[in-house]
Amino acid sequence: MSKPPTPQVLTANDLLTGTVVFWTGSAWSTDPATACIFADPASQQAALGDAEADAGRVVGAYLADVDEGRLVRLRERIRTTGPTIAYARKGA
Amino acid sequence: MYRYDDFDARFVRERTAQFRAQVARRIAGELTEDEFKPLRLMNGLYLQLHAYMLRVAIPYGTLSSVQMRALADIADRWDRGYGHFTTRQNIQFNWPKLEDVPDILDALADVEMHAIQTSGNCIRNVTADAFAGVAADEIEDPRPTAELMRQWSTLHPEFSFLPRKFKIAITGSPNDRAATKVHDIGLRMVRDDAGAPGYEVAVGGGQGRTPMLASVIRPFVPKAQLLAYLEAIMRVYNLHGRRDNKFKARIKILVHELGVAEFTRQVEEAFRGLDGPSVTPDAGLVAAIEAAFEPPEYAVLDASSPRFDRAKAADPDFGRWAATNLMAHKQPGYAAVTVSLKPIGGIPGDATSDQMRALADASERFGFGELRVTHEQNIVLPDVRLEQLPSLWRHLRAAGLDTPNRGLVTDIIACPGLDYCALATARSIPVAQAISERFADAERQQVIGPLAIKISGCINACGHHHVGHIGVLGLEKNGEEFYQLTLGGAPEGDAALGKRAGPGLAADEVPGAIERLVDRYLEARQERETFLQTYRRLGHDAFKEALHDAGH
Ligand code: SF4
Repeated sequence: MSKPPTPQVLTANDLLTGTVVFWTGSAWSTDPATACIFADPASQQAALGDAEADAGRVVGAYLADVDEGRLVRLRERIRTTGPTIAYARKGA
Repeated sequence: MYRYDDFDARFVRERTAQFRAQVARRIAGELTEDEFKPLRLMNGLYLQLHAYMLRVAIPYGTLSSVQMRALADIADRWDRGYGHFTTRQNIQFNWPKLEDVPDILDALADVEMHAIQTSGNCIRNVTADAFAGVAADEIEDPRPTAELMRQWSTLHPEFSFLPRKFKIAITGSPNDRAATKVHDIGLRMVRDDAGAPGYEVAVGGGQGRTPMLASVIRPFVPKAQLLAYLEAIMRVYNLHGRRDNKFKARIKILVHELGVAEFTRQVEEAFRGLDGPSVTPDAGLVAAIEAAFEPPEYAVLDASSPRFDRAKAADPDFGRWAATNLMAHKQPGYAAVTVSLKPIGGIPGDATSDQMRALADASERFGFGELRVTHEQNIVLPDVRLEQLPSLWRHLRAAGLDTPNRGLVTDIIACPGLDYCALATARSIPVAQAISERFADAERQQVIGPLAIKISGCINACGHHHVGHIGVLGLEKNGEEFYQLTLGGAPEGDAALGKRAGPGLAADEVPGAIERLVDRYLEARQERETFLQTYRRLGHDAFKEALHDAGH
């Protein structure tokens, strides 16, 4: 039996600011909770295609695995929430 | 310091103007990302995990107080108020916006800086001994040669499409503080029998997934012939370097595959065939560059300073700092000061804009307005009078820059790792912080003595873990971070690559493991022996066992 496909979200960086964004199905959002979850390979590929068409607004789009709405890989979670260390951010 | 001539200034301005137009076209949708990416990389602009990152070149690690202040202003105006100094003596800004980058590049050009040659398959910013020009053990300042190489490499048509990136390091001193043996080309100044200075040329060192030490292919190249000789090396590399396979494209693989003897033969043949005079820069240019690196007007001072000696005796904190963070200066009565960017529990190599300004101020009040970035991610104030060290120390202390740990166990090199880097497999910074906290006691650090811990967040080895006395490599398995230790690496002197020790560790096991290695060393060391010397005397297994003994 083949494994069921892993659900995925579409993510990228905003072209102008570099901010991490997620595709909600109709727009790019900085909130991963609003990301549209693509359950099967066909819809995932279609989403990637949409992102390519939106290359004027985002850069480096790719699909990231989710499990019950949560990003699976540590890399993706850090990418979303920012560095895990207290860097010397000023005036933020 | 070297100042831009008209050509440099015009070239940098033109590049910035070009890039401004390219950014505008990208934003307007006239360039695709595929078209734009190589252009932004040529100007030092990467895309990392959370944002863009701009890597600014600091040629041979030397910068002026004016430049340091400009970096602070850039951090405040266009970034988040800090910057990260790297093992390649550069600085990285982690949060620039694409639309601001042309303005940032203009602000850099205002102070004769740029972000060129910090990315891509070109000859990257040349790195040098951070104590160049002031070290007591130096033959000659190697920076005129480094500047000559910068000019030669920047616009050379043969070097804009190399098989892979290319890194050159240079030192003017027999004590190699520039890690020359782990660079594509490592240059070490030596004298010939008649006493004339020239360079020993080593080729094919590197870290990454296939670490190798460079092999000396010529024990002596006269200074005047160096560029021609380097050009011959680049020819052989350009011709035979593996463009078909990214993992085999560095020159170290070519040297390895051809063998050192055959590689050398080909270089010598290319060298003989070169039209030397067309490569050799004219004497006027060389003299002008050398003049730019003339020593500053030092005062004539006694070799010792009673005021300095009294302060050491009176204040143990100052005494400890003076014992670790100073380097012998060639000029009597002066010292070269390392300002540690490794506060206990801090982020290795990070400096806030306020700290950058404090450093710029210090370099003017207590020096000649010059600073250096070290490949250990610290800052050097090269010319401080001994008598002024107590005042300098108070100034640094007020800015949180007085950590007394140069070369000690908490002077940890760490790459940005998974907290920033898109290529990372694990985090580096939190591991560095945990080790630093564990060994926080300054007195104990001094008892332990010289110990270089170096941490990389992936196999690319930007944190130089292969040449750490203790190296830490962050990896990932089944979604979990884990860390592989290596032992016995050394970037300088008898350079060596570390050997793997023990199984992978979880992040929270790393400080304890390092403590066991340190304990083994302290038990076994003979008088005045360093960690590395004890390791070499006892051998790898003795230390590997220490890791196991703890009931793993
Ligand atoms: S070693 Fe790896 S994780 Fe660290 S900075 Fe280099 S590429 Fe990134």
